[in-house]
Amino acid sequence: MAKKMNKKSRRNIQGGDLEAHPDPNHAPNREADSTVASNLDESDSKTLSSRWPIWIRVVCSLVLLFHLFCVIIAPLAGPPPSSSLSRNAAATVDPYIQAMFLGHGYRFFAPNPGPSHLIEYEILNADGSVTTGRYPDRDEHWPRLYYHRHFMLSETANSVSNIPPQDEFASQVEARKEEVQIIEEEFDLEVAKRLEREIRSDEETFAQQQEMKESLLLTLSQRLLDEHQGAAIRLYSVEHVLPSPLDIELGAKFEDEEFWLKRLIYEFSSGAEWPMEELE
Amino acid sequence: MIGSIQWLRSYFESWCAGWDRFWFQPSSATTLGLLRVFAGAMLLYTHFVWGLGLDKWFGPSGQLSAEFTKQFHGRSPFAWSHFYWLDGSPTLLFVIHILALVVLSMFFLGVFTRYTSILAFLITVSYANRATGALFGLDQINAFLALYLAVGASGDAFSVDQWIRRLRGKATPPSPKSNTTIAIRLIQLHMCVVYLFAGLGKLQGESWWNGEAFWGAAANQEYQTLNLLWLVHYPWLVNLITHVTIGWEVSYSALVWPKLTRPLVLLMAIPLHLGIAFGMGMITFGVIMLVGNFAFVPPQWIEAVISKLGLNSHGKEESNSG
Repeated sequence: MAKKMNKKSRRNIQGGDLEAHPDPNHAPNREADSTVASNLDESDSKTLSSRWPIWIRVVCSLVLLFHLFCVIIAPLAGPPPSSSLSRNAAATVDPYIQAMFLGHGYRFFAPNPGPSHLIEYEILNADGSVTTGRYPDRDEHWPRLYYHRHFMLSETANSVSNIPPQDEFASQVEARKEEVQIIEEEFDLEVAKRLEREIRSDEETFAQQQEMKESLLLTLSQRLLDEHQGAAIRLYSVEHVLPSPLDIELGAKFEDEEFWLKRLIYEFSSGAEWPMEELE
Repeated sequence: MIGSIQWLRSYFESWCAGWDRFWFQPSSATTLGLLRVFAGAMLLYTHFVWGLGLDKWFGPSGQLSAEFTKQFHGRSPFAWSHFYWLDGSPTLLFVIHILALVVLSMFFLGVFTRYTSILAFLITVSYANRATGALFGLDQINAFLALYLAVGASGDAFSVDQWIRRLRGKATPPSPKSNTTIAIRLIQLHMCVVYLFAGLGKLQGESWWNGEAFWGAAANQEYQTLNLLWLVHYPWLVNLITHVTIGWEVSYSALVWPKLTRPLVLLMAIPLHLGIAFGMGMITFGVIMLVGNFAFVPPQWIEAVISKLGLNSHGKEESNSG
């Protein structure tokens, strides 16, 4: 009887057979059974149906549930918008998420495919001449994956530099603090305390964003200066606006100036000063 | 009341039996072995390309400072990288990188797979953590494939390990294993999570509803490899591709499981990801997504194809007695 049950349970469920019967000893997919069985000697027939001891399966199940929770909570918690519940839940398992490299949102081309961001640089050379360049460069950065790495870095540079200026942020914080003051005096102390904590958290986040911006753009600038042996550099983030279908129908080209929006994101100098005409 | 309790008990037992079968029913390593070959090749290529600018990306005077990458991860000690421990010597950096490529090559070929699979995962995560800021979808998929290939017996098929096993006179192939099933299931579920959140994220965007999103991809010069601007004359086609893309992504996690819809879902993955690969220049990303989808291909399909070629998954010629 045991032998018969083993033969019946000899099946490969690799295909995720949702039509499988609850009885693990039932084997509706006899073709799959025979395919796997043909690779086995009779003496191995037991191994297909042999199972780990139940306590191992229970422990594995708990580990799997925990892992799947982390796989799901990470994209749920970020990027924004996300709920405070999901963010707090993700924070409790953050060490595991970081260690297993699971902290991704998978928001590919979401919410909308957007414009690309490149970096343009102006390097002031020791002799007073200016070298310009764009990053990434399809001719210089090859193969395609190498180009894409530089492309992602330029997107990151744009992203980290997209924070409000210090004084603008400070005035926003000041306005919020005044509102909290009013809430504390006229409404609810607990609500005011919670809003104060949120303001402090936002201030910490802003400080971190500023540090990251400085770290990235400084090292990028220094690297470009080293490569070109320059004395000073200006970095610009260049947004390549997507032409609309109407633009293309009217004969617009990718290279047309209207599709390139440039903004200065960083300046660095190892002591040199830009000539007056470069400032105009 | 007793009937309800019995029903609940039966329901609970059905769940347990289903869970047990889903995760722990031993299975053949044929699919997992091929996944190791494909993913291993991609890992090897990914890290080879990092090496084209080793000092630029990982050196102390590179364009991505260690300070920035640590800040990006909130200074979490769990976002680790072996590059943080190196002293900045270009020679050491080069030697460590070559060792990493050797390990990844061994993993790709299936040499000492039990150990090289774990090292491959650690290498992938370590490089990615240090190169934060230059990453994209490819690295996310590479990492979880490497993790799950380390969980399963990915060296039990299409591997040098198996070839050596045969040379030593061990004629029978490795027995099906539960950890192989676990690895395949994890890849399958993780792919579902990827597509679900990719689709749900897109639903926040107006262009995915008004059918113009695909134009956003086609009209992006920095991504573009094929000139797709002629689509401006076929707005209905742009709408169709947009709606099919979002519909496929959002429904993937439900429709990929039933036998009737799975082949259609997997077939749709091919043009979608090849389009990303060759239309948008993200060949590596398009290919690795197809590799992930391969986890849904039953091993008996692969074995049938191989059988027609006169081999089995362990490289042996099949005997006429079968």
